[in-house]
Amino acid sequence: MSGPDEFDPFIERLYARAPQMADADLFAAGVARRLERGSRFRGVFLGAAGLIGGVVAVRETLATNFVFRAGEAAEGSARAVDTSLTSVGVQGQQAMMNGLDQLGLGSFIDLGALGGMTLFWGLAAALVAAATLGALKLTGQT
Amino acid sequence: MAKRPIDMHDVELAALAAAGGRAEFGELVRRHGSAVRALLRRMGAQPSLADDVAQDAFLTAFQKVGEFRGQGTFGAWVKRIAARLYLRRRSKEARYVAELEGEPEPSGGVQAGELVDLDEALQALSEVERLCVSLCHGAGFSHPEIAQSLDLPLGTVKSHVKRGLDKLRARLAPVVDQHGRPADVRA
Repeated sequence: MSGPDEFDPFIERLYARAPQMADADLFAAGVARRLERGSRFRGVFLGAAGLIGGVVAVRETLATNFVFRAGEAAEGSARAVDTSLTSVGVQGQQAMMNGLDQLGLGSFIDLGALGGMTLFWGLAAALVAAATLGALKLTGQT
Repeated sequence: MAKRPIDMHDVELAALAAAGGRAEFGELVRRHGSAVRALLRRMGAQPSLADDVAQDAFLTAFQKVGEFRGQGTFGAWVKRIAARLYLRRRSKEARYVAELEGEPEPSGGVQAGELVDLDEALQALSEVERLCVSLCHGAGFSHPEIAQSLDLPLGTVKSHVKRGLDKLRARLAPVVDQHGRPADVRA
């Protein structure tokens, strides 16, 4: 009988010599189907995310126009809303500038130069991008 | 004229699959699917579970195929992925600790000249021996890797592998010549 030195590679060869299974093509088709399903799911998810983002953007734009028109009709209340928005915006900008300063980027990016709406849309875009990236990573793992 | 996937080497196919080539990856699945499924069955997985895990392994391989640099064979790389996925599946089910200790029913000895294949011979091993031998010689795991994966002491793993190989040697004796070469063995 052979010694362990000869027997080990022999066993490894036996493991490597697995015969082609009768349903090998069926198995390969199953893997291809699952790959296809994964990419379709990703496509649907991205499409849905884009659609939702678009609807939200249109809704926000219409609401903004409405506030402007309402402001013409009732300047007092619009001014109140605007003041509170500005105050929130200023606070947000200050917090963000503090954060950027800590990262040493404060001198490069001046958020004060951006308008409130620009800042809002910028943040919203960043959040949507982060959520989309996270979801893509998750779908990639399934 | 462009080469067809069927004419390409695994490394070429993997490179094209990394760039999103489904057809090329499909060829890799056709080439190595049976070997991966067979390994999982030899590790003790039921055929349906083995196929399920093998599919998962190929999906994982597709996502990570860019990491395959051609060191070792593509088949060995996917087998390692499949073995890890199977072990994870088993540990989730928390079945094997209780089951591993069970010895198989003793089966009849092999008569001289009888054709024996590896799958038959593996039936003589206990589940943990089969798992350790298959991980070591089928999936290319080192003993420490097996010990870590199965949460067993290294010495225990070594003795499981040795005992398993001794049993395989005894079962395969009629078909192995004095140099350890197969006389007439089906894989």
